[in-house]
Amino acid sequence: MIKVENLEKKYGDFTALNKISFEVSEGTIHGLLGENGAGKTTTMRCLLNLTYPDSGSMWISSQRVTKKNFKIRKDVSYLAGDFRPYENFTPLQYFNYVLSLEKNNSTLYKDLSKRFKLDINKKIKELSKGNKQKVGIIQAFMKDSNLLILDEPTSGLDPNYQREFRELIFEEKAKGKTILLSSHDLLEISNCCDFVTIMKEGNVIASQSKNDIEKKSLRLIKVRFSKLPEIKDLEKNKFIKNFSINNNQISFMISGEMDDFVKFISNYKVLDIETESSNLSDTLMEYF
Amino acid sequence: MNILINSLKQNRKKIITFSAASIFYTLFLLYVWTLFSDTFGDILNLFPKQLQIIAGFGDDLSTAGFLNGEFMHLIGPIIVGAFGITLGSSIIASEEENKTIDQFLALSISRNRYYIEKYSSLIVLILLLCSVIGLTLQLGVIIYEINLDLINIFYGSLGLFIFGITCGSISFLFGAIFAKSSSAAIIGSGIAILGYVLDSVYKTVNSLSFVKYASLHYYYNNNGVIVNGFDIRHFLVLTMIIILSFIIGLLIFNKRDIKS
Repeated sequence: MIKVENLEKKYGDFTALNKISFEVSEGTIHGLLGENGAGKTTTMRCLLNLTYPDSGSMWISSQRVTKKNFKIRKDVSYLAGDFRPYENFTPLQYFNYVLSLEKNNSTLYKDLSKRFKLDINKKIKELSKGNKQKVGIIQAFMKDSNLLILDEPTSGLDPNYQREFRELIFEEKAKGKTILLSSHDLLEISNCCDFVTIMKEGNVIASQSKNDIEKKSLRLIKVRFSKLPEIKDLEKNKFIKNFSINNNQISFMISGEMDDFVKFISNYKVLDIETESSNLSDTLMEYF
Repeated sequence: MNILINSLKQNRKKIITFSAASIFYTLFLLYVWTLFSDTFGDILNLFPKQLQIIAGFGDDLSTAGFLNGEFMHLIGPIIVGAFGITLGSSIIASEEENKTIDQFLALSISRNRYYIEKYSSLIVLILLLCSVIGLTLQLGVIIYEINLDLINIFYGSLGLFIFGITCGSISFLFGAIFAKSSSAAIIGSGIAILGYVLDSVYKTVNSLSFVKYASLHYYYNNNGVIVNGFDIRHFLVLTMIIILSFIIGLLIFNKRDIKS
């Protein structure tokens, strides 16, 4: 559905994209994961011709993305990372205006507005940040496009609507649509995506299925022992990437399959175990 | 046409404000004219000839002659020029500053279409304002029973329209280049003010008469547009500036990244 090949973009001395390549398969949810400034937004803007790359090629639905080929975007929807609608419009006026620009008669925004409980007759300037984001999400989905490019789509949404959004993109995927979404939230990506492209400082560090990424990602596990293991025993296990000791509790950073770790701690008397997902930086550390 | 229509709607407050100011000022000016039209020549002669010329007054003591100095020389171009600069500098640039443009250019519409429709809205709005001024002049003629030919009103409105479009196009060009409305407005205003200053300079200092060629004001009103109509060569110069601003702005807007 999307192919990006050797895409390069520089702003003076700063390299925003360093000859990146990746592909997004049709009918999948593909996440662009990376910290701020990694190049996720620039990549998306290049695909939409809002930003022109210095070199490299891009294809959407086998059509080359060029300055002149704006019709390629007929079947593409976009939600900008910093979505800003006309503040003096109501959502209804905004949706109608956006649809009118492409002569699209879709009325999907009505159902979507009900679903997200958005008052479409209130001025946008009177809406909360979360509700403005809902306007962005609805305008992206109302076109019924086959490709959705969503930059930080859940930014500003409360957990209930984040869940609603996830259900929505799963429904769209079930209809065969392709979704490229960016996030710096590992949890969001792991909850939504089939494939993940990890970016750092304008480079693609990895582009693979979520399962493969998860195998490499780190988990933070806090274990309270009745008697602490010897440090040399901790150090000789390769799956323990890092650890810190606090009284009788050890916080482990574990990579790969959990089996080895479970076997290891079974040699000791364990009082309590807590696990949590590691943050993005910890995960990304695996790729350097 | 939707972008054009939307742009007209977005700028309705500006056109209403400028129209109201124009109507008020024009009617007021014509009323003042009724009070001293008989003694206009005497009053004018109280001032040195050079000052009369700088102020835009000539030997014509008719209503058109009065309006040429009192309205077309300074206040008219200030109103229409300011309107053109305000619009031209903001129509595209403020959309980029506010980041509202991203969603629209991500649709299957070309940048050409976006630019052309936005530019068209600039023309329509300035045309509206100048039509309001023309109609107000005609209304004043009827209300105050003043002697002013329709052709003079047409010349005056056309002159202001061309001047407004020129100022607006220059600001529009710099708005399209810099994507910053304040820079575009400053440059547009600077060029318009400089034009007025150079126009005054060349009229007072003979050795500096060449500076008139760098003055928009010279091309716009040197001929006394409301009295004599447009000098065709000057009209062509302003038209060329408009066309070049439009084309250069379009090319640059197509070639550059949208501000993120």
